[in-house]
Amino acid sequence: MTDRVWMCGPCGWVYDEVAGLPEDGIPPGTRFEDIPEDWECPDCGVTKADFYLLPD
Amino acid sequence: MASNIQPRETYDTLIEAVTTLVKSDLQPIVGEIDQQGRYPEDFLRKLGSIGGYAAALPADLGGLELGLAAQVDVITTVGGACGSTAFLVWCQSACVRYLLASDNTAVRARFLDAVSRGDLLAGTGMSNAVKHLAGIENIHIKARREGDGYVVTGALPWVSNLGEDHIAVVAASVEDGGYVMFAVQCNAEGVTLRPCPEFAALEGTQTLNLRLKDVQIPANAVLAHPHQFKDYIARIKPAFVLAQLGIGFGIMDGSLQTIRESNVTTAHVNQFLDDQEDELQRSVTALKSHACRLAELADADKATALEVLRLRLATSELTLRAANAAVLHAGAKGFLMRHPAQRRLREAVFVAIVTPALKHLRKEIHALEQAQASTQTPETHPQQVSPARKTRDPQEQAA
Repeated sequence: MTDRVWMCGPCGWVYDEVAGLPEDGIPPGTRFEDIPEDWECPDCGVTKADFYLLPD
Repeated sequence: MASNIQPRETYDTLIEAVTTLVKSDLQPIVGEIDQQGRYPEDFLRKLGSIGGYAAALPADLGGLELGLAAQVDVITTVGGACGSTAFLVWCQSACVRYLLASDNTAVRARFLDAVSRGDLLAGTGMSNAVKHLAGIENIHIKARREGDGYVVTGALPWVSNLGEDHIAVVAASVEDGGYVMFAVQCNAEGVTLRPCPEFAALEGTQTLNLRLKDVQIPANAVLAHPHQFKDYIARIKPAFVLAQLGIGFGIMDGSLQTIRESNVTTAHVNQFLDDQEDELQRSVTALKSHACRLAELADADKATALEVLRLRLATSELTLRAANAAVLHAGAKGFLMRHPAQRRLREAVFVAIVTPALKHLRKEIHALEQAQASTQTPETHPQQVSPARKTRDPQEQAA
């Protein structure tokens, strides 16, 4: 599945797997699990551990 | 200096000076602060020069020795004009309190005088740690020991009152256990300040995203080492929370003023609204009186956490009610962005979401009530404690 949406707990920034984040080198369709572990939220700088999966 | 202080006279002089400064230097730029995000740096520095952050500081450290209640009153006076700036005054005075409470004389010697005078502006990035300690979120800053200091890495989404030549006070978890609290200079190597997405209010607070990458924290920047941290947090938390009441009180005072002004022409219809000026005023007065009593207890390290948190909760709730009532009394013109009632409404929401937020307060109060109930026998406490309820009647709460 690559159509999930994840939210940053502290700041609310959203990562959409369909869109990816090309400006950060993350192509469209990239699963959240496949993003490098040292990646940081572009808005607030926290790590992947502080993101959570949004319900459908 | 200490022997010459006349507390009552000094208090009156201080509040009069703050009131005068608010009228001359803050009131004229309140709209600019709210709608253009102007940071009122000149006002903040002038406030420091007249003792606006030193009300609770002992005289032998250059303070006015008037106690925490006087510091709350300073914040209230500022908040009567601008809730955003009242929050900045809280940030600065909270950092004074952190420094004063530290057992580390080196960090006090390094920063206390400059912060208490407003020469060095200071942000408090303790929200994450306070929420972490309440079991609400992960801690975002990690530290490892190096020599007699630490190296820290992590990010805090939003820290207010920051700037390149400011300091920020932050806490981190230490890799070999416990927590460390420290001051970091914002222009230190490895520190990055970034802009945040636009906020609904308080844009004039220089609230920035703080990122730390392998930042060296020397021993003379440490407020509490892991072995000191638990007692240190217990000492600073009551004042941290109580001083915030001034932000709410100021917003309530401003909201009541809007209600009185609206009633000049529309009292005949405003009388049908749920919250009326006289009842709100009585509730605000009761909360202020309670705050004064608790602040005196906090000065003596005798304020109980439960009572402090309940009062902070009651203040959040009444601030929301008062600001909402101000908009309803103002009517359609209160829906204009330029109208103070609109600004007060957004400022009031801030009081309810800033750490400790309203939901956080109810969680902590519930936990403390549960703990208290478990230590009492059925004879002395026959009823099960329910989750922290909405404190609808602040006078009852304040009694």
